[in-house]
Amino acid sequence: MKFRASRWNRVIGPLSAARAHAGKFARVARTGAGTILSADEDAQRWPHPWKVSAFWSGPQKCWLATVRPGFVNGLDPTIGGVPLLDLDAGQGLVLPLSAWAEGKPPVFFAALGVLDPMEGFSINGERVAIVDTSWQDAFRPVRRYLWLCDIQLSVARLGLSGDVQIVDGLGTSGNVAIYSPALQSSLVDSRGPRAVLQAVSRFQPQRKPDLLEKVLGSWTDPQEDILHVARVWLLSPPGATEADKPDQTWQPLPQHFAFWNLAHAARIAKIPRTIPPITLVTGLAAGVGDRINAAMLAPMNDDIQRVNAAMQSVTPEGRFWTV
Amino acid sequence: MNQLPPRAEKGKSVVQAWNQLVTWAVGARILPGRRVRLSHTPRGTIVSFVPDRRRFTGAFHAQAGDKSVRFAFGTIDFIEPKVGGKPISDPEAMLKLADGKFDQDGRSWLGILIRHDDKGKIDPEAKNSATMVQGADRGAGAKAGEHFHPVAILKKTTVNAVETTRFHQIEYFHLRTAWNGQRLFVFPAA
Repeated sequence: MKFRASRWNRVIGPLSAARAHAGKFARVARTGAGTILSADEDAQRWPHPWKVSAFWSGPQKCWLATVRPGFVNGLDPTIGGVPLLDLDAGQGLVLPLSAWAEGKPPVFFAALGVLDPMEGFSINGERVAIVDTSWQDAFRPVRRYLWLCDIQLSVARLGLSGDVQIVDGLGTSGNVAIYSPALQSSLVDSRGPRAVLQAVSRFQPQRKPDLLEKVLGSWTDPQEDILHVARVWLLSPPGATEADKPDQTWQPLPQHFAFWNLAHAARIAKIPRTIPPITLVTGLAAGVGDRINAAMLAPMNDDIQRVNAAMQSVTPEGRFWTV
Repeated sequence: MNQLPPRAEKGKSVVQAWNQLVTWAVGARILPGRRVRLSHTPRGTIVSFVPDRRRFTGAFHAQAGDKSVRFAFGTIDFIEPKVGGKPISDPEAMLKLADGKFDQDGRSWLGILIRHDDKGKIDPEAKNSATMVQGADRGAGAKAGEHFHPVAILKKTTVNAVETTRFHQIEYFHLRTAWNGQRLFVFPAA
């Protein structure tokens, strides 16, 4: 039987197109007996509280993030003043992205072609990337850039300010220190009990004031406790330049630091009617200058240690924990 | 693995290519793998993915019915809370949902009402030491000597003019408590 070559070739084309390929959440294994299609087990990741999804918003021309609802003390936090459970689909945090510029990138991204920003050098004021010969393989990217944004939880709590008075206890030298704490509630009053989800270009852990700052009153209590929830990394396509800004061609990769719902408690839950001052009999000399000197000599001064311990004991700083 | 036979050329035999095509066609049969269901029809094969029912649930997992809710096994200080006098792991232990126990924003809290003495101790022998309740606020009306710990939240939402109630799980762990002299704190039991 004669068989026309053109007929044969008309069959081969559609057959080739009928070949199964792995799509979303699917795996394809080819064997001599058939092609096995399986669901991708990795796609069954647990959708935990605080799970972040980042997406490019075409109309707003920026990257947004949505957060799967999590709860702090049984309440969903707000984004832009709206509780998470009341948000419309597609509403999210606008991500204030900033370029990675902190030395070597995390190993995960280094393997994808992100280089240390400091590996570049300048010619006539313009940064030029060093060409790493190991990346010259045609199948690997030459250079990719990394931008990031952090998402944090903030819970308002009472703030603390205080004033230290040195009283001339013996009539000859100031050796009685009176610390009068005062509590501020402006942020608690304005926000209420709900936590707030915020996008910041870089998470900064809260700094604890030292004794000198407390004594001089130069420290302002932020009246909030913050927790780093997630970091959204944006990876550029291969071959991007340093001037490129993240757009829809970049790949979002959220990294999570919180996976469970949370409880939060501040050390001082409500303002007492009267706050008794803390009185300490110390060897402190009278006057601000002497206070500074004494604080600088703290490691050698047991009295200062006592003052420090007493003042730290009245901090309103709170704690988060998993529930 | 199996290559498609080459294109035919005029005047050359296609027997070898035919055999290669048969081998390829056998290898191209679609077979069901994990969580895949196939339905063969004369017009083609329908591929369906079967969802994994073995999702992580955790302790106190709330399973919503139409007007009631059941909770998965969970403990607080090794005490299993009760619903209507029955331990929550009892298949008949169901908490009836009350429409009146929603706040003005459409939220309602389901949780454990813990009764403790003035030193924060929970009596494991007492009938009502830990019971599952529904409340219209985070405190669920807890009085002195009581502490309400939410394990799930219900939220009424309107989708396409149809009101639905969605569940959101809060608690996933067995629990323990600690007393600081003023209030009861609830933690995961390691």
